[in-house]
Amino acid sequence: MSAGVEGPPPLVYSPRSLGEALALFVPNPQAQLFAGGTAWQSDYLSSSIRLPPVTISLHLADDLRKVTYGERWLDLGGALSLNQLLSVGGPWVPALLKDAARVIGTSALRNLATVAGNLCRKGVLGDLFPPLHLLGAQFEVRNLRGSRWVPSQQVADDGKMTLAAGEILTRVRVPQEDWPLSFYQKIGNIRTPWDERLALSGLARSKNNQLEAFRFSFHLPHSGLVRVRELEVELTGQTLPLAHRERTRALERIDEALTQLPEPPSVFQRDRVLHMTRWIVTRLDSD
Amino acid sequence: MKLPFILNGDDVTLDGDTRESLFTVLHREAGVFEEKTPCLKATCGRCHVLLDSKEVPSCVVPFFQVRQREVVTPEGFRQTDEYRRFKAILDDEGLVECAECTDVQIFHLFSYLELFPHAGPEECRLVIGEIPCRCGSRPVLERGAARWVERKGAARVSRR
Repeated sequence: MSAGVEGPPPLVYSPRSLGEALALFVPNPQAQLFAGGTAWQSDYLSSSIRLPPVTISLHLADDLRKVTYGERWLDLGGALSLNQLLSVGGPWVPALLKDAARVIGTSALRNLATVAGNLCRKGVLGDLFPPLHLLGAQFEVRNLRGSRWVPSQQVADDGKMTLAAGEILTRVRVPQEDWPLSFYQKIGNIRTPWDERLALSGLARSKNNQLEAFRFSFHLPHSGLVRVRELEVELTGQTLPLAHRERTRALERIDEALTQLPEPPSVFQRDRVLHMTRWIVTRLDSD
Repeated sequence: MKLPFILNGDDVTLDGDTRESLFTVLHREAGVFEEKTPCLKATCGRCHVLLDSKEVPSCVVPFFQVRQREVVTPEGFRQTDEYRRFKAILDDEGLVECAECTDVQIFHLFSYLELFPHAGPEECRLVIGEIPCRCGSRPVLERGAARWVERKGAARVSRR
């Protein structure tokens, strides 16, 4: 039996609640969390599961899978699977977030992959982050002593979700706002080379042929998330359909943002970003 | 480590290491997936099982997570009435069986439609495309999925 695995087996805990999980960090401060395990496996593909020496598996912690919603915000439990997120009916989950979740992995993987697991991938921003950032989400991080709220801007500035030892990302709070127009486009997947991957997110709201609010970002894996705030400010308040001058200016703004990246994008990425920006601006007019 | 769980409706206790995947233990201890060589990257669909009614790639599920849970393999699913009904629709649409993908596709598509019973044609197309194969049966599967969604919807309405 047990061919292919060597050495002493890791110590694995399966707490049934958040409280139990947090308490386990007291005797095991070096323990690592295991949620869906999908990102973990894609990093270490092999016939056995690579677990850290002390593992806290969250698969039984049902209180981390709750979805609550009210007039002001939507709260998503950290261990909520992506398919559970997609199954939430009604208007509560923003279309932008669902569009992003729908193209992560396969349907079977989305039954395992969790919201917090996606956001806490080692060293990178997960695919759910760009939409959550545009939506103005906050992240609740808890340890045994209490909790803190991390604004999405802080995560965007850091380029990753930073958790201290003994901390768990327990909730994602998304403000409830009406965004009739949302755009999400992802190019590439885990098998695509870095310089061909890219994701664009956009949100817009218009009233009486005037663009009331506009948010836009693109995510290049090696350069991080780029939110073009100058463009957002310039387009907000503009009359629709946009004049030729505004459209051209929008593309120039995006081109400037691409040029200023510390790691220049590939020709393919630059071309795709500009092409999709043009498409989004056209959609603003038609919708 | 011996863990009790339900496998295709039977109570079983299988022996495995904490670091082994559910696929590895099912293959070695229960003879499941004997004729299949999965990719072990959670992308081919050949090792998918239902874990508490949710389809998952068993190659990335740690064995320790199945304690006291229910696992249904594609072999177990083939014994159910739901499978026969779904397969009948696909046969009616002209399904030509592919040794590589048919079983996997049916299991995958059926599981998705159980979870998202209102899935539209575009959504079904994406889900069918998640299982890589060039056999050309995708249009048949798409038509079958649309009929299944319609039939389930009608059944829900008549129950009301």
